[in-house]
Amino acid sequence: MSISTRVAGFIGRRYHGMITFLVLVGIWAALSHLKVVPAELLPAPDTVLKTFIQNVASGLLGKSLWASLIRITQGFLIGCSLGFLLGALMGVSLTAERLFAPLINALRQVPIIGWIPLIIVWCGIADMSKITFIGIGAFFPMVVNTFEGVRSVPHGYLEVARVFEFGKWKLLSKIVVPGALPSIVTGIRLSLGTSWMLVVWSEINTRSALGIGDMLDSAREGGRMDLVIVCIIVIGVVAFLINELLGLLETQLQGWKKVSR
Amino acid sequence: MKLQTIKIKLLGLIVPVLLLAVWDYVTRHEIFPAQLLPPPGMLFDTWLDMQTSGELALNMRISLLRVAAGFALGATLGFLVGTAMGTWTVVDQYLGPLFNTIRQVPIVGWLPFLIVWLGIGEVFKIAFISLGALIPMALKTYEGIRGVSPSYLEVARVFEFNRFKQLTRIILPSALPSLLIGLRLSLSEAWMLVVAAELVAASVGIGNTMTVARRLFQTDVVLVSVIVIAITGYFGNKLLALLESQLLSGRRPSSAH
Repeated sequence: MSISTRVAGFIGRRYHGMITFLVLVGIWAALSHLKVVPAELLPAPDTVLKTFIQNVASGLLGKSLWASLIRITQGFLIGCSLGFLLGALMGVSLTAERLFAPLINALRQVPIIGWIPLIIVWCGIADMSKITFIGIGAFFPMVVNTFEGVRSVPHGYLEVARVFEFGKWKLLSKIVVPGALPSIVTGIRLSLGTSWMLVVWSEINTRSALGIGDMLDSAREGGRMDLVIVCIIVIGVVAFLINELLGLLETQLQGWKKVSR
Repeated sequence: MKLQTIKIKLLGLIVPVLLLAVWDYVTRHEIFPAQLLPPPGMLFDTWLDMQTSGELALNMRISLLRVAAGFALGATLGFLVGTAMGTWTVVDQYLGPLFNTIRQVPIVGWLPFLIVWLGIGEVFKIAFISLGALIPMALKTYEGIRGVSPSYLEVARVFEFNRFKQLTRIILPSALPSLLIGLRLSLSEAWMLVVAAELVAASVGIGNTMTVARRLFQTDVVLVSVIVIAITGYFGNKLLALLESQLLSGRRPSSAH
């Protein structure tokens, strides 16, 4: 198939969504240009576009985004790896599960957002608190999913390992981890998605440094709705990328299993 | 068998008890100032104070009312949207991509936007919570409806059910597991968002209690609030789980998630 046929097919199947999108943008433009809605509430699409280009050119958007990404990476790596280790330990060892599961389940009940005042008291409002917060948010999905993944390895596989007399290490690397991998990737996806949301939230709550959430809230305070919309779109795009890319990885690994996002 | 379960339960208590002991030791020997880490005993006293003064009850009631309103509104709308998208392909084709785009933005991202439009009053909070509750419910409803086994639909066709009968007799009951999961997700989202909204823009409510306490460095109040929030969330979830088990008893285990 030629490229143009492929593209045409692609668009042809999805044009409904694009029509809705165009209609909405049209309504948006009409509402703001006809001043039905004041510009402070809803700036015109072209204003938003201009602001976007301005901020990209000035590098402010890039710098803020970069700062947020660094924070999320730090928090995510810590929380995710700790979550993975504990989840794997609990999955492999029944004793570990019995020891830790009640506590983990109890802590899980606190909505992540509820941790923030406590963390601010303990860690201040500098980067440390944001990273801790993100770490906690990344921790729980990872523990749960790694645990479920390890437990979901079919017993038949474990029996095969016993028959072939695999050592502990070989058992882990050849059977447990690959078997648990789809769940682990789901855990990573949920973990990263939560981390992204928490980075934005913690930046809104503790406006102490550069970041996309900080940019968003400053824009709101300054009455710059155009900038607010730009930030929301950027935040949405990053969230979308996280979901899509990791979701693709998940689908590849799971093959026939249905993936719900 | 009973001894076994007792042993398991005891194992589960080891880590929390250990942590409690460490906590008590640390505060007793003032390794951390009491402002940062109040002793466990103090927490109980603080909780008692907050209970008797009525402060806790008042704030929790307001927060719960907000959750209830936001959850009711959001879940209902989510159900309607999900049903519409699931039942009529046209709606799915035109609205689907839009819905999927909107749900990419983490709800907290919408906060500043909604504050500008709706101020920081109750309307804003309910709207914010409803938006968050809407999305999981719509998704699960959609999944549930789309996941109805084709053979059931064929039975409906054979018996010449009209659309409405199809919906109420076959599709909705079949989608029930997904719907209930959607309700649970919706509620936990609503609960999280009420706390979020109150942390940022409220004068009453448990989130506000936490913020005020934080600013005054009353760590004990903050901790008590966190625990109360956790317990409430837990019971809300348990309640829905109970409803789920009642409504779904006697079903063949399905692969619906």
